[in-house]
Amino acid sequence: MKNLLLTILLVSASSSYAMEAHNATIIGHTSTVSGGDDKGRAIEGHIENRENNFIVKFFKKYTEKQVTKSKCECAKR
Amino acid sequence: MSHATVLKHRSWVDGKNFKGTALTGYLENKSIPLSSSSTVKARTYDVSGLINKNIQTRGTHSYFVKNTSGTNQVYVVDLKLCANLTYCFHDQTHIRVTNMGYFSNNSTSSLTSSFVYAGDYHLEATTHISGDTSSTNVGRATIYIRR
Repeated sequence: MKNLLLTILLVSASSSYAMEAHNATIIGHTSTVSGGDDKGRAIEGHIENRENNFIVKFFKKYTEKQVTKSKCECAKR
Repeated sequence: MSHATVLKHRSWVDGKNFKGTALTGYLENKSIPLSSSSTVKARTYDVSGLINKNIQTRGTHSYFVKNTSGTNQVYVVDLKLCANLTYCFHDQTHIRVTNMGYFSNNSTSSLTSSFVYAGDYHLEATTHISGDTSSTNVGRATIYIRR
């Protein structure tokens, strides 16, 4: 267990949660779990409410033309 | 300037009597800072469990940023949940925001960890925003591990 380093790199398909945004674009997202020693270790970690509400709300606004000159790059992933 | 926005600004020159008249006046460093604003919050909660068992912990994170800088900005949102200061879940998001744009979010982080020895361990949730404005907030709690 000593010097145990557990690193999980996740590039998420859904990059936001219950987000409200206007003229904002997610351009990158990463999650990592790390850390361990002779006393214990990290096993798993995540964001619980990883719904893609942002994308839904964003494109709803976009189609209503309330948001201009913006795009949601995360929607393509 | 932090958590502040210039809403209005003006300057003027006045004053005149039989002895003289004010003619001109100005500020030499007349660059009014247009800084963006941000607020963040982090909380976490005490948990208890047994040695060598999975211990699930949670952190709640909320944040708001408004870009009033006059130009496009990129903000980095870091959400962290750490047990015993070193067993960590770290979530990082880069967000591009055009001038006068904003974003806000509430989310819950989860970290499962295990401990070999009984004792009390630190638990910290951190919400941090960096960019042309920055804010940090840390919530603390305790993990109680028993045999």
